[in-house]
Amino acid sequence: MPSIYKKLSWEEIKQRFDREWVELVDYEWEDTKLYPSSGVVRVHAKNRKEFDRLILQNPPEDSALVFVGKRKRPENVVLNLNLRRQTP
Amino acid sequence: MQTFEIDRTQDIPLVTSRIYGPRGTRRVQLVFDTGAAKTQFHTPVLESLGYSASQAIHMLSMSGPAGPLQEGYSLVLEHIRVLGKNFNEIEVGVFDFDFLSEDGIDGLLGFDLIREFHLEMNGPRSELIIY
Repeated sequence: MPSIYKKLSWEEIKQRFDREWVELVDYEWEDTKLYPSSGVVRVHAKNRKEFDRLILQNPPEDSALVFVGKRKRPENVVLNLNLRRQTP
Repeated sequence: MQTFEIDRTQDIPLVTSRIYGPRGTRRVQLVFDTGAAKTQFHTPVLESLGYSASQAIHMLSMSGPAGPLQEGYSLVLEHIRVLGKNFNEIEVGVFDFDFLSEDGIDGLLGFDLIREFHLEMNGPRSELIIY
């Protein structure tokens, strides 16, 4: 859902949007850091499909897409991204 | 030499990138995936930058050790900056990471780009060092 246009620190974003996808505009993000230091939350959603719908509505020229918090998957599920190939 | 932060608390290794398209730029986190042959993105991420399937240059089938997984396509990404390096006009895969993206994945940094780096990982210090 669209959010209030107020610049927040990453600590504030983590507190307010834990385990949500956020799109940040007017953000600060050092090249060598894994997470931004601040930004304005343009849209946010707990569900990725909803987030995908929101980021395609009037997309800004410059934004950052971030998942906030620790990714959590069902117990006994191992995410195996390796050994992938593509064939034309 | 530049030192990049990695997050040991996550189950998967993530790095940040900046990608460019016809309508602008995005900062996104990519899985550092040495086992992926090609760098790939979740379809809506590239669509938000103005890319579309009409720019496809190859149809792709993604397969892993368990067999075929998904159909997608490739297109030419204008520009990507990742781990301090810039790459222009590279062919990337475009797939719907419908399952993976629920867990927080916008794309994969594949071996096609990883092999261009001289790097060292210091896991205990949460660092990826690029020479």
